[in-house]
This record gives sequence, structure tokens and C-alpha cells, in this order.
Amino acid sequence: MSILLWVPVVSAAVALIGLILAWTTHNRLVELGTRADEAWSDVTVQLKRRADLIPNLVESVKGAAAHEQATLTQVVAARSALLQATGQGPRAAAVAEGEFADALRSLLAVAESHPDIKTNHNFLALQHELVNTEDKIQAARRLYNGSARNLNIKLRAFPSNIFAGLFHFHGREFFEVADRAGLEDPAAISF
Amino acid sequence: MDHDLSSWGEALKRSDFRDYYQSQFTPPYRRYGFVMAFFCLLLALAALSLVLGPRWLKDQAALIGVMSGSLLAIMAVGGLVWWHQRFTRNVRLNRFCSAHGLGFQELRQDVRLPGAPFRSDRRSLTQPIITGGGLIIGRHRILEDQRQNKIELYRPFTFGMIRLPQAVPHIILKNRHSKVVPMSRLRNIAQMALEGDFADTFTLYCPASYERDALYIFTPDVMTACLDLAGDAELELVDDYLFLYTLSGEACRDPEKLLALRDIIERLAGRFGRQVAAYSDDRSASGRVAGAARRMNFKAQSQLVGLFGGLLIALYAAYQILSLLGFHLF
Repeated sequence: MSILLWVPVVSAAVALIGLILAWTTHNRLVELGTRADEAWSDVTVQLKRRADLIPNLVESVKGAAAHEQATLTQVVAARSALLQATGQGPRAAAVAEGEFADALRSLLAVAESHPDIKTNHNFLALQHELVNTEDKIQAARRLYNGSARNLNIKLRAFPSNIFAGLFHFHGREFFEVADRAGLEDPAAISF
Repeated sequence: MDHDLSSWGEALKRSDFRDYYQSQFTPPYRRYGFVMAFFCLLLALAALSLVLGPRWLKDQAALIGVMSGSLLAIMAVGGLVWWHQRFTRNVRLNRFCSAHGLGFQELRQDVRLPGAPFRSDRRSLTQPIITGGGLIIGRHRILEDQRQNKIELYRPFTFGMIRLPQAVPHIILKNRHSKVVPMSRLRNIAQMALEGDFADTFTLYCPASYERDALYIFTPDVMTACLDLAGDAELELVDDYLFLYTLSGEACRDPEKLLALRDIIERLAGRFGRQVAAYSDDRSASGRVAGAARRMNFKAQSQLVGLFGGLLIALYAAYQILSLLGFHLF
């Protein structure tokens, strides 16, 4: 077989390998991106679920501590801000989440200082549900950050970074939250 | 943790042997018995030939008699030493377990528990098994068919099983340095490398779309406990059971290791307990684990064989077509 015949064969083989690589990388990036979006969607669902608990929580505290109006208002405002921020991506949501966690901690501190709230069954049930939802948020957040990490690594690694640029794939921000002590661990909320 | 090991170290009494003999004693291994019987028969035949046989046979009969007699003596002495060691160890274990509220059984049976390693099609053997306090510890081996000259793929492993507060999705925590759970045969699974040092040791497997549920149970606290307590083991959550698998067989021989393993499993179950008790499956109305998530399915090996076979045939066909077209690659 002459060398001239080898040139198109080798070129075709290289083109085929390039095509297969582009195809598999594209599909892998689509898969990773979809997983990250799905995981973020789950985070927002869990954040909304917790937000839905807040009006009832505020109501049960309001009955016994109406004079703590500033704290109650702060929690309601932080809840609204968080719900809005979830639609603006992880970074905005993380900022709002930090403010919401502070407000929620203040609300729980108010409840702790009132014996009649501490023994209120409704409040205790809500508080239990809140802790459970915090655990789900934490799990959803870890899943999202893991998915975002996998996608970001793939986008930066060679040779997938070449195809990522060609196909206009972009990375995802991490959903980093500040210290959540007192919200996730029920032992830290002493009643 | 310090354990009371006095019941292990004390001299054995007649009552210890009686207790063990009455509840546990199993006959010697059949294969050993067959070999012994064969040499006994050979020795008897040699003796018979020596006494009654023709003259030309006597020399050979004497040689066979000496050889089989020597082998019989070596096997008898070796077997007795081995048997004595094993017997006294089991008697001690029996007494030790009784003293610590555990039950010891030599068993030698094919025990099928819900864990993935027990779902092999092959013949298996569990020996011994130690129970008590809602816990089961045992040594399990999966046997290959010797007649087909297959190599033993799976090493024997020690398992510990304890009950959890409620059923959870099927989750396997696979150790990178261990090979107890046969992951290659599982399908429809999600694989996760968790944060930090955890990913260097473990990979987490769960049913597809149950990743968040798995992370709900494997909180950072639980992950730390897994690393600290079971860094060389593999864990599995199936139904409402927690399984721990380790390749080390010491726990079924050494009393201190046995109690240490019991402590580890109980501490792990305690760590998992809170998350497992609070867990509910959002996908089902009752909150119980949906059917598909209760077990990760095993895929048949024939599918893999078919895939590789198909690939080879396709490659061969491509080679033939290229050859026909005049492209001689080799």
C-alpha cells in the first residue's frame, strides 16, 4: 500500500477520533450541566419548603412575644428576600441565605427566652420540621456543589476545555453558605 | 476501649467442652475424612497383599504400605494438632460469647442476608456466626465451582449486621482498597465522590435520583464517623439494616477484635440512627422508601459477555470489509 493512500486514511481516522471526542465531550458536558441544574432546582425546592414554614413559625411566636415585632419583621423580610434571590443564582441566594439564617437564629433565641413558646406543641412541631428541612437543604446544597464541581473540572480539564469553548458551555457558581450552627443541629437549639 | 477478656484467658474446664460439644460440635471436614479413609484402605490392601499376596507383589506392597502408613501418620498428627487448636479456640469463643451476652454458632451453612455480597448465585458458606443485642457478626465465603477450574474471585469476609430505626434507600459505601461488595454487577446506580478526605477512601453508590437522600443520611458527622471507625471497611444500608464488611477475619477469632467490631457497629448505628429515623422519601405519599430504591439491581453477566462478543464480531467484520476493499492493515 503506497504512502499516498495512507494520507487520506490517517486523516479520516484523525477526523473520526476528533468527531467522536467532540460528540462524547458535548454529551458529557450536557449531562453534567443538566445534573447541576437539577441539583440547583432541588436546592430551591427545599429553600421554598423551609420558607413555607416561616409564616406559621412567626405566628406561633407572635402570640406570646408580640413585643418582639422587630425580630418578626426581620424574619419575614429575610424570607421574602431569599425567595427572590433563589431565582438569581447561587451567589445571590447565598448572600440572602446568610441574612435569613441570622434572622431565623434571632427568632429562635426569642422563642427560647419565652417558656410558653418552648412548651407550645405547634411551635415544637414546626421547629422539628425546620430542623429536618435544614438537613434536606444541606444535603441538596452538597449535591449541587458536587455537581457544580464536576462540571467545572470538566470545563477546565484538557481536552474537554477546547470543546467546552467551542460549544459555549459555562461553569456553575458554588452555593457557599456561612456558619449554620443552631439551625442544622437540633442539639444546638436547646428547648 | 478496654474490654473484659478474663473469660477468654481462663483455663478450659470440662463443663466448657460439654457446653460446646452439646450445642456446636460439627463433624470433621468431609474431604479430610475421605483422604484419611483412602490411605487407610491403601494401608489395609498393602497389609493384605503382604500377608496373602504372591511373592512378586510383596515388595511393591511393602513400599505402598510404608508410604501410605507414613502419610496417614503425618495427616493424623497434623489433623489432630489443627483440630485441637480449632476446637479449643471455638470452645473458648463459645464461653467468651456467653459471658458477654452473645451467642456463638459454628454453623457452616449458606446464610443469605439482605446485603449485596450475599446475593451471589454461587454456593456460599457462613462460619461462624455470633449474635446478640440485635447484632449479627460472622465470616462468609463465596465458593467457586472447583470442577470448572475457576479461580476464587472473592476472598472470605467478615460482616456485621445491625438493625436501623427504619428502612432507607439502598446505599453502598464502597472502600477503594477493599473488594467485598461486587459493584461491577450493579445497575441503575448513581456514583458519588463526597467531599474532602472521604473521597480518597470511599465512593458512595445509591439508586439513580436518590443522591440527595443519600447525602441526607451521610451528613458530614456521619462521614467523619465512617472514616474514623470503619476506614478499612465497606458499609451498606439496605432495608432497615446496616452492614459492615471487612476482609480481616480477626473478629471471628480474636475476642478483643470481636468486641471492638461490635462497638464499632453499634457506634456507627448510633450515628446513622438520627438521620435514618428522620428520613422520609418525598417521592412516596407514605414517606416510606419507594420500591425501586429499596434495591440496586444486579445486571446479568451474560449482558457484558454479549457486549464484548458483539464488539469483537463487529471489529472482525470491519477488518474483513477493509481487507476486501484492499486496505490491508496488518
